Amino acid sequence: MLPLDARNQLAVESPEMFSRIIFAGIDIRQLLSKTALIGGAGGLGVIVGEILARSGIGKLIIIDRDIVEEANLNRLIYTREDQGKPKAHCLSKKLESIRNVENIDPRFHLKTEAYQEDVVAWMELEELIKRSNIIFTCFDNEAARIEFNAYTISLNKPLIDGGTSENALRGTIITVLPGKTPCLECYWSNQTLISVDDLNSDEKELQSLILKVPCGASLATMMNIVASIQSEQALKLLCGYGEIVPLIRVSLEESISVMGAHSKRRPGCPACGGL
Amino acid sequence: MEDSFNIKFTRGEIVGQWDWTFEIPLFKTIARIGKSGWDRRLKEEIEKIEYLKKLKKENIFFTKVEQDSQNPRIFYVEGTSEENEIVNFLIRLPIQYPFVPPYAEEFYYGKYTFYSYADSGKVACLNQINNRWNKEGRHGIAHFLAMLGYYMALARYNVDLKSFRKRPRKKSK
Repeated sequence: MLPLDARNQLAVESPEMFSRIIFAGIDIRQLLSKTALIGGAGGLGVIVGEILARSGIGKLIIIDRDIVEEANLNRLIYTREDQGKPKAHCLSKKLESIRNVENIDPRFHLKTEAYQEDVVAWMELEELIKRSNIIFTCFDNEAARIEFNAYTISLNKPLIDGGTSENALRGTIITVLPGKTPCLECYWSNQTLISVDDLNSDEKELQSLILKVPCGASLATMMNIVASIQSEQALKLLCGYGEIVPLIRVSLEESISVMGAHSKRRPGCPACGGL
Repeated sequence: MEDSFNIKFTRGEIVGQWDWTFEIPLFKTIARIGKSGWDRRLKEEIEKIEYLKKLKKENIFFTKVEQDSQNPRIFYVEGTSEENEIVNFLIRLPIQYPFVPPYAEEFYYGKYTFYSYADSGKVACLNQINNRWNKEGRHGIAHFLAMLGYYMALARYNVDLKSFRKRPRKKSK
C-alpha cells in the first residue's frame, strides 16, 4: 500500500478518475503495468472487468464464446443494443470507453483484446495466459475452468475462480497460487484414482462445500459480491498487500455469511501434484 | 421416465432401443491428452469408432469422424439424420479427458438444436452424459457418440426430457 504522503503526490500526477483509488492506498502505477485475462464475460466477468478497468489495470484480455442474448440482460453492463453481438467484444468496447477519452493521458488508457472463442482445446489460450499477470475464470462450466487451471499451473500464474450455485444464492471464490494453494482440480477432480477416503476429515468437509454445479439461475446481487471478492483478491496480489484466502464462500440463503478457509493442497492432485 | 443404460422406451408401446454404449468394449489404455500412452489411446479410439460403425445399429448417425489436422483435441463428426439431413459438428476433448466426457459444439438435428450446455431453446445432454461417463477413463469418443445418439433418438421420438425445447422456426415472410 502507498504511504500516506505519497498518495497526494501520485493523485496530483494521475488523472482525476484514479484519485479515489490512490487515496485508498493502491498504487495505480503497478496496476497500469499489468495484464489481466478474464475467461467468461457473463455475470461475473463483466463486473471483474469493470472493477479492474476503473481501478487502472493496464490491459484486459477478454474471452467468451457467446453472444449477448435476451436472457443475459439481468446481468450488468449489457444493454438491448448489444443483443446479437459477441460478449467479449461488447465488454471490451464498453470498458475502453470508460478510460480511453481525450482528457486522459494515453499512458493511462486501457488496452483490450477480445476473443469470441471456446477455450476448451483452443490452441492460442496458452499464449494468452503466458502474456497475462493474473487470470480470472468466470465461466458457467467446469471444462473451461479446468482448462485454465492446467495452463496457469504449468505457467505458474495466479488464477482467481468465481462461481455461483444453481439457485444463485451461494458463491465460491477460489484463488490458486500454483504450488502454494489448492488448484481447481484439488477440489474437483473427477478421477477415481484419487479416493475421497485419502482426504482427512477437514478436506472432506471442504470438498462437500465446493459448488460443482454449473449455474442455472443468475442474480446480479450474488454475481456482484463474488466478482467483487475476485477483484479484491486480484488487487491484493497485483499490488502486494494483505493476505490471500484460498477459498471464500458467500451465502445469501436465509442470512448473510462470508467464510474464508485456508484449505490445503490435495496430495497427488493430477494437475498440481508435481509442483 | 426412466433414464438408464440399455433401456427400451415406451409411450404406450415400445418405440425403440437406442443406447448402444454397452456394446462397445471399454478402453484398455488410459492416458491423458499429450501424456505418455496417448498415441496408443488414440489408436484405440479409432478402433472403437470403427467398431461402433460396424454395429450398424439404428440411430448411429455418423459416417465420418476425423481428427483436426492442426489441433489433436478437436474431432469433426459428419453424418446424416433419418430425414437425410446432413448433421455435422465438432467435438472438443477437455484437458481432463478421458476422465470426463468430450463435448459437442452446437448442432442441428431435425427440428432440434443440440448443445452440450444448458441454454434456452436447446437440448442439453452433457450433464446426463457426464453422469453415465466412466470416471476411470474407460469410455471414449465412440461411447460418447453412442450416448449422443441415444439423446438424439429421444428428441426424434419427442420423449420428454428436462430442458428439452423445440428450435424456434423462422417466420416465413
